[in-house]
Amino acid sequence: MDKGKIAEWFISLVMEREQAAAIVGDLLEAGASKSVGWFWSNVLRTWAMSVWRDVRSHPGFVLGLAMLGILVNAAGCFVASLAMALLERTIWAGLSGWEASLWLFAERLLVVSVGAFAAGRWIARFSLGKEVAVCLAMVLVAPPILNVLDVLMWGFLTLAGGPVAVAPLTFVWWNNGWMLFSLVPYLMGAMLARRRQGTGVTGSGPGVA
Amino acid sequence: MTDILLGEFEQIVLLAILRLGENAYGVTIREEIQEKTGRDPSPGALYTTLARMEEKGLVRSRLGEPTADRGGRAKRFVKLTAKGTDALVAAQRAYQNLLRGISLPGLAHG
Repeated sequence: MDKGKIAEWFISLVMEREQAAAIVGDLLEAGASKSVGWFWSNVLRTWAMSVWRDVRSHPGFVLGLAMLGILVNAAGCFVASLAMALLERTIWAGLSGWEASLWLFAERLLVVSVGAFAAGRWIARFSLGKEVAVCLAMVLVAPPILNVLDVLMWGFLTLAGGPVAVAPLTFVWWNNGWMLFSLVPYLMGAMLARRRQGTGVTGSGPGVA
Repeated sequence: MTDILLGEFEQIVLLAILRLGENAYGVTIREEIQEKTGRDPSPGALYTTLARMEEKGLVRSRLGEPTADRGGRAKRFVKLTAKGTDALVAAQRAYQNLLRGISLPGLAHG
């Protein structure tokens, strides 16, 4: 695969495909006498500046949709957790030690992936062309919310004298790690939905003509 | 009269587009800015500015024919709209009003 096609795919994640193609054409033309590093650094800068422009020009839209996306993500995780709970009745009972830990990790991975994938698909319906900006906003906004909720719950359980399994810092790390991981299924869900809907940014949302 | 306030870089890009006429697209606009102002804007900054101005209705774009030296990709030609021209005229008039009555070294004006 040549660098033009890879760059075009990458830039088309944040804008209309034909616009991305024209930009890559410009970069190939202007970069004919320049290094490969110049080409790729400008591909990355163009990508990053486009995402930043989306956030700056419509901050309310991006953050609002990110917050709703977090709720969809939570709902997706809840449904996936229920499904896993049904499976646990048959599988979990026979496991112990490292097998149980591995199963727990796989279960968490699956639940988080399903929830984030569903949220990504939902986001794509309303933010065509701005999916990456909204997904990044979700990854940045969700951990502080989860951290505050978890610390509050930890404080409440401690005060109530209930069982507290882990220290606050542990689940803060878990929250941040899982949310960072969520970016992959978010984007996969969003991009798959966009592909099904067609090529471009002809849908709804501010700035989408 | 337009109520759109243009930033300095937006004015530079619009002037470069005007100068280039029918041949204004990403590469030539950057070259024109480099040649006439000595600035070297990054492609990312230029495309972001063009997208923003198109969103505001200051410029419109059309795709040209795909060419082999661009890997079969078309050029995106840009042109000022009437709204863009009005905004540019208003901005330049403001500069001229500010300059009137003062003299800057190396710059001749009335």
